[in-house]
Amino acid sequence: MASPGKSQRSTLDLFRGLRNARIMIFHPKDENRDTLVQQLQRIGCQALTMWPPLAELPENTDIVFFLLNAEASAKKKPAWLGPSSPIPLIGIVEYENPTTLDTATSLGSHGILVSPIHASGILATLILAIHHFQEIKTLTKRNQRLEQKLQAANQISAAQAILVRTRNISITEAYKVMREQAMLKRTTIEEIARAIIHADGILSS
Amino acid sequence: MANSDPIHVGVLFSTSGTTATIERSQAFATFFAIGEINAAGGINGRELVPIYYDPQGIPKQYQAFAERMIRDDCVNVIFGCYMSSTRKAVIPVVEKWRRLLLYPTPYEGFEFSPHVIYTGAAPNQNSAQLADYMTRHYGARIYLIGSDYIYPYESNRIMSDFILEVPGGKKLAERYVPLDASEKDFIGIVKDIKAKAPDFVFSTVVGKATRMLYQAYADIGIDASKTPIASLTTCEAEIAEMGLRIAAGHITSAPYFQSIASEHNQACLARFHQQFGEEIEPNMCWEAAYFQTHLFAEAMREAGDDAYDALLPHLLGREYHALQGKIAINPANHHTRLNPRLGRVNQEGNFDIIAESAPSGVEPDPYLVTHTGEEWNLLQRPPEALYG
Repeated sequence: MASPGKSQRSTLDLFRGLRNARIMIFHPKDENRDTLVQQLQRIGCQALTMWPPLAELPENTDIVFFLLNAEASAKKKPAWLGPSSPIPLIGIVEYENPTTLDTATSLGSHGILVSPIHASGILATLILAIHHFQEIKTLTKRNQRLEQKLQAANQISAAQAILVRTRNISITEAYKVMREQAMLKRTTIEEIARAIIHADGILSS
Repeated sequence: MANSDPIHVGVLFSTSGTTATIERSQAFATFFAIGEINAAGGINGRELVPIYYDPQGIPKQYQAFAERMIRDDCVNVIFGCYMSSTRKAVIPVVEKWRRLLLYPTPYEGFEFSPHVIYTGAAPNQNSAQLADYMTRHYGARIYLIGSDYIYPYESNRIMSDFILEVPGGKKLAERYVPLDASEKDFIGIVKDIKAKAPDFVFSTVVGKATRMLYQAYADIGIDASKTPIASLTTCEAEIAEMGLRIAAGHITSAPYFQSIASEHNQACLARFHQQFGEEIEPNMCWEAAYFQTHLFAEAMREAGDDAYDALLPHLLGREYHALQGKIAINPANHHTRLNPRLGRVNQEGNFDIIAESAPSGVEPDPYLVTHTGEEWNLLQRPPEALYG
């Protein structure tokens, strides 16, 4: 529950997206699928059903629900199903046993529904799956940026060390030399660092 | 051979506790309808017999009495609940036993149970219209105050979302008081309202505390004609309790007001007062409790049975000419197509209806978060024309 009285932020954003979401459901026709489709329609989503699963997702699919049973997982895994999915995936499982849950997590499910499916719980699963999917996406991007930065920092200090050793100058002076070279050659200090490391590698081999 | 056994139905409203005034009106609306149904020959010749317990406004007691009605009194259908906390307590019981709850109260939406029929307004049938009207006529700088439970939190969130969509929309404060608030809880709040000078106040205070809020508001001298309190729940019953001086000028959004001029409504009010006296003030919750009982009777007449699986198909999609106008149960979400209206308390203590939807009504959309403005027509009358 939202803590009352704190923010001026509208809660609409997450739900507005949800109401226009195109949802693909890979599940055989039965009471579970009917319950899921009806509840998604009440929420205001567009739901498309299909069984067996398609190898390729229809264009503009925003979210996928898929039945995850022994039979389904034994078949050839479609390309869209996996941890690097560009959209949220929600598995529907019949058993909450370790094998099923292990499969669901290793396939990169962002949420799980357990059948028999009830109307209540679907919205919560949907919202959390979308939320976690977006969090993961944001964090992955940030992580990539940080890794690149860290690598660059390592290269710069390695190049500094080379200059200190070969030219007999201080670390501060080494950095100054690299920065001047970068400005002169109109490139980044990381590029210069890589060039120095490369040259040193050639010379010392 | 025709079955002439009486049909027992559960009636689960509190006649004591903080919400007793409204819930008593819902209980008596149900008894009133049951009396009319029996006077007209019952349901296919069978008498309708209410089983009543007083859960005193306590969610656990709603749950226990619902269980007892089903297990010991063998009811298939329960008419009941006002506060969301009490409905949430009863839902697991009717789901477990495959029974049906008919719930005649406006609530915060975002719910669907296959074992509930919701006959009060969803937010798209009261909040949306109220936000639209208030921001248009008063402005969008809003002060929110509510009782401390789920319905006010969610209603205030919905109202905030509507307000923040409007250019210049701003939430100045959001305050909560306990359900059993006393006079002194409101002193600081109305002082703060006066200091912050909002365009209007949105109140989701329910129960006995309602009168205290409006009283404190009048006492500190805020002019209701300039800065009214807008509410989804303050109705005729509370107006009668608080008195005219305090109530005049404030605004409520609801599908039903006593002042609806139709012959259908006025004749029914007269019959009710004749039977039950003047003590109970008919209101939006009373009207929903009244029509849902008749709606049930019509559905059961057709179904020939009140067991869940037999009855439900005859309730879904069913239309009924209620006191508010034509209504219908939406088969997809179990909520009801209603006729939203806005009322402002006049100097006589009645609600002047200052705006209403088209006669076709507004379909329920319990999961709606944005307001499209469709299906909602303001009466072409400025507020001044009806006030004073």
